[in-house]
Amino acid sequence: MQEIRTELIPILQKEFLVSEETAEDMYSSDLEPHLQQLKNTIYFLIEYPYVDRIYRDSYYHYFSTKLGNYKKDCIRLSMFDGEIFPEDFREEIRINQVADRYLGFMVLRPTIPAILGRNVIAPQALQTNDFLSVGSSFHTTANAIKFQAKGFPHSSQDGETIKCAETALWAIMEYFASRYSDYKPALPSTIIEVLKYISVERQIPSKGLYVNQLAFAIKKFGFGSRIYAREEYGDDIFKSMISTYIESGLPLICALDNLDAGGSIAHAVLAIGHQITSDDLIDSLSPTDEKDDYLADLLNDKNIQLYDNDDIKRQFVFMDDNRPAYQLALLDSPTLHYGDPDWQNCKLTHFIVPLYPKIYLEAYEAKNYAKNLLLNDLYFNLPRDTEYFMRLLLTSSRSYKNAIARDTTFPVNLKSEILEIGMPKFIWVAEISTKTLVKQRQAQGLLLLDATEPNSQGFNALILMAHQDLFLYPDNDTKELMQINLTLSTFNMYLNNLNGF
Amino acid sequence: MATIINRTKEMREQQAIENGAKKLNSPEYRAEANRINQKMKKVRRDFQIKDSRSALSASRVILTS
Repeated sequence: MQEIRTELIPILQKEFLVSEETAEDMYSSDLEPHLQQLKNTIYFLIEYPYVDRIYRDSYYHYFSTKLGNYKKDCIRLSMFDGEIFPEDFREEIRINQVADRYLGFMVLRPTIPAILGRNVIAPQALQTNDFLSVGSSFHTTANAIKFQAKGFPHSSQDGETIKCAETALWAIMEYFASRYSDYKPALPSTIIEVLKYISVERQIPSKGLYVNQLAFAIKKFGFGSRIYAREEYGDDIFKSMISTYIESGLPLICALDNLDAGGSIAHAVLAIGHQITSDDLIDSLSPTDEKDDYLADLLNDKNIQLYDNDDIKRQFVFMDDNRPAYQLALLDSPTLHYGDPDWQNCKLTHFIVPLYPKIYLEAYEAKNYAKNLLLNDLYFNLPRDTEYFMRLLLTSSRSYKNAIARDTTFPVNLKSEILEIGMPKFIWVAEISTKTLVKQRQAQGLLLLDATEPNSQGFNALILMAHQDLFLYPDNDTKELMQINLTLSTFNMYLNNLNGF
Repeated sequence: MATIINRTKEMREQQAIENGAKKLNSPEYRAEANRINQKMKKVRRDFQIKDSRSALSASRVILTS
């Protein structure tokens, strides 16, 4: 770490036209915390001048309009696991080897003192990486060689063209644009352009964005954005919905503040994953506190203990522009990792889900519907005095069918039945399991719901439900419930969304 | 030579017969389906009210930190 400091400070002085003292201050306050979380085996390749498209956009739309002498070039740090040599980038065999050790990049921009710009760091570069998160591959280069950076985009705010809210918007669009051709990246000037007709004041220098402006921008970028407020849904349902959407592999924009505690902080972060679910977390899970009276009575009458995956007290992965990438925190204390006590008492107030526009059945309704079917004596008829673990997630039917087709734990005839059923682009999957089976990443029952169908009339939203020797599905035309003689034994949980559990 | 895998509606119906498919359309099942539907309508109504209030509260504080 001392070596990178020694190398970088003179470069910062020369490239960003700052004194040695300022360069040292910037390094210590803005860069060092990010570098300290990296493994000790990381080596850096420093390149400058580097043209960064995000900073250049801010430069031409804002910084160049000032009198001050703002530089337009950046510095890029590429990260490799293990030592690197100049020849590693000029010989084919060595290039392939060094590509396997490439773990991402950081851009340093001349926005004093917040110099950390766009960065994509692979979780494998971190000292602690026992978490699961969504991520993508980003085409990049280092020393003239093309590489792929794998991770989730992160940046600090420059404080003038992008604050926390714009940074969250930029990062989420950068992620979606790299994964799906339906979406485009959002440069700072694009965000300003999209919001100009609903902004009643000037937009730069930025004062930040309201939650509804963030949701509006997400909608304009092609999503069916949805806003959920903690004070409306209550703590339990609010946190449960965050957990469901994270389990579904969707990055969420979260708003938090400490206004109730008398503070003046209001902040936007992204939630992108959760810690790996250990056996201890599963063991410490209590039966769900069912809020629905009818369902609570059903559970009590049959003495069934229902455990909900979304109740697990796990840490979630946050991308916070004030902190190094991939911060782990509980939903009740999302900013506990800040040193400042004012920040530590922030609470989540809202979250925004960038849903695919044709997803009409939401997490709250889907879970309620799934529980009504699961606890119904006519359908599943779960035995008395038993316990079950339920996990709900959203996924694309393409990914789900692909996983089922390749899974060896489904009987062939049952696999064939599931694969032949017509499904919409997105489905809700409710896996029924037990605490013991979940530890082995296995389930024993399945409910599939149509995410494009909010109308539950006549099993419209049901695709199938299967548990032990029960396999039910609605007839394609009449929607009457059909039963076939197929037996479902234990099967592998669906782990594609976060590539693990 | 070609391998044709023809996935048709007829094939699926044939598969259902082979798997002993039967309709569960007794009054008991229809009544239960109706009850769940009524229940879900109430859930949705409750959800929509919370939802509209969520949208209202979303313009209260500017996220700037």
